Amino acid sequence: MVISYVKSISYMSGYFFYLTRKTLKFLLSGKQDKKVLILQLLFTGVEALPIISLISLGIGGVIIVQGVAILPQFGQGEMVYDILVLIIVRELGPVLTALILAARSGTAITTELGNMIVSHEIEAYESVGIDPVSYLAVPRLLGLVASMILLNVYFDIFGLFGSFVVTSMMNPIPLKEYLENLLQVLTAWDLFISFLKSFVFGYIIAVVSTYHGFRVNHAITEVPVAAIKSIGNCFSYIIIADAIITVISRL
Amino acid sequence: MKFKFRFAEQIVGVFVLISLILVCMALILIGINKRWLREDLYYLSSFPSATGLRTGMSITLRGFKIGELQSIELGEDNMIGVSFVVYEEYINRVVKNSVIELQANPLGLGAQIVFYPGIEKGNPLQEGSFIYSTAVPEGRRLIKDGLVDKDSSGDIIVKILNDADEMVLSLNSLLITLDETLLGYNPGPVGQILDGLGDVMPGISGVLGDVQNRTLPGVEAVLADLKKISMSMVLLARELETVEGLVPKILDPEGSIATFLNDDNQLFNQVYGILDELQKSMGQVRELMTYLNGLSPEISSLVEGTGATIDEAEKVLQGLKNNPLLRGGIEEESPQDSVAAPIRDGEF
Repeated sequence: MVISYVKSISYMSGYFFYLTRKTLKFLLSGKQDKKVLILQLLFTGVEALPIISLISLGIGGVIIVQGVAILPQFGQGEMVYDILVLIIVRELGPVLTALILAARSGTAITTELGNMIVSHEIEAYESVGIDPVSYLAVPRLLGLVASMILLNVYFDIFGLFGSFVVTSMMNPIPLKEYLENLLQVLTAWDLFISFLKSFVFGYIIAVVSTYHGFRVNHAITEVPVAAIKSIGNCFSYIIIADAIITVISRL
Repeated sequence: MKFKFRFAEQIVGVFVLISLILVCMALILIGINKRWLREDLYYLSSFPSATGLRTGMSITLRGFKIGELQSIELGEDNMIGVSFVVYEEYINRVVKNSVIELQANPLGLGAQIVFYPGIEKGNPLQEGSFIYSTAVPEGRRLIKDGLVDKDSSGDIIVKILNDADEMVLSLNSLLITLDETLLGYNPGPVGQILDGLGDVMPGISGVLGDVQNRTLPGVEAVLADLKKISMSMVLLARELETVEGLVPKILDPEGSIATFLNDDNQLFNQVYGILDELQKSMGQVRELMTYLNGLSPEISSLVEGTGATIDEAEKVLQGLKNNPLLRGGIEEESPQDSVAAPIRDGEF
């Protein structure tokens, strides 16, 4: 079991570097097929926007309600803005967006690629000299990474807006004052860490989901198994990567 | 073809564009707020401790933020060197004799650095100049000399805390001095007194031993006497409880004293006669004792003679008892008990 696990890790590492090389080649060459990339952005980014917006609005509102209820008891009422930035921008924004994308788009990618193998479409691409990784995996990787970063921006905006809406209902405060207080604690470093996490999480989701999609051999029953493994691995790697980045950013 | 596939590029373009605009706006607002493009001037200062200091904390002038702390580092002289910036629009406040003061809440509810400008108006200090803090003697001297425009109408709590801080410092100094004195490190008069006290202590211990062994028993006897006296006093006090005291008893016409004084000296004469008789009896007893003293040698020789006669009589009786011819010739006497019981045999 250990040997198979090590072989799996080494195989995934090789696939990771191969996909990265193909992605760089895709970006540097002038002959990109933008249609696949745009469709991937549409499916992964635009169509996920409603659920991301809803969740971020709710999270922002909950945080401000809890913060306003608890923090003044310790004389730290002003820290609610620090907590908003810390939780929404640096932590929950990237992580929740990544989990939603992994569950929604990652499984879709794995299932799609698995079905293409079962229906011999991949063999058809190879027979006409088209590299399936370059043609199928690279646009999905770019689309996932870009969608992840863009959705993270929307998550932050809607999360902070949701907290403002709830604050206005509990204790009316001018938008200008709210933004000033928020900008007092929000730094470019916070945004950078948020975008870095989005990039890493998007990359993880793309690599893991395409990897498990290509791992399907012949039977259609392998597809749901691959999808389950894909989402499980995505969640694990996202949490581990989040912990590593958070620790490094605090050093 | 569905709408979203037909206009996929436009939808994705708007999606990306709005996101980019939001990011750019956030960066611009952060840049304005963090003064990325402003030419702020930095200055240096020092504190004896980094407690309460943190990078980014505000520099305020009369409650208005005019700058912020940039860096904190431990210097070669073990002082905490800090650098802070003052926003360019407030540069003209940074003049000669300006000081800064760290005001930290002891309950951990935040801290700030307050800037006090110098009284002298003139050109602003050059960038990189050193500004004393009130935590060092030079800064305190500037305030004491009245060279600093220190706001006297500040927060009363902050002033109380500052006073308390100075008081604690003074108390700490006093305790250190006291501690050194008690340890014998202080060469002052109090230290000498304490040294002498250390030498005297063994003598005091000996005196206390003597007091315990010798004086205390006598004190106990005195205390017993005092106890008796106090009991007498209690009795006397009981007699004096009434407001009139003993006077009514003395003045009672039917009392002994009044009778004694108002019976035409009858009782007095009787007492006087008794005393006279007693005096005469005592004289006779004295004469009898003198006579007996004179007879004592004769009585002594008589007693001795009687003893020798009794011994001879005992021998004669012994011989008569041992003579077989006279044995049983003398009638035995029956003992006769005394009619009156002896006092010693009585049961009490």
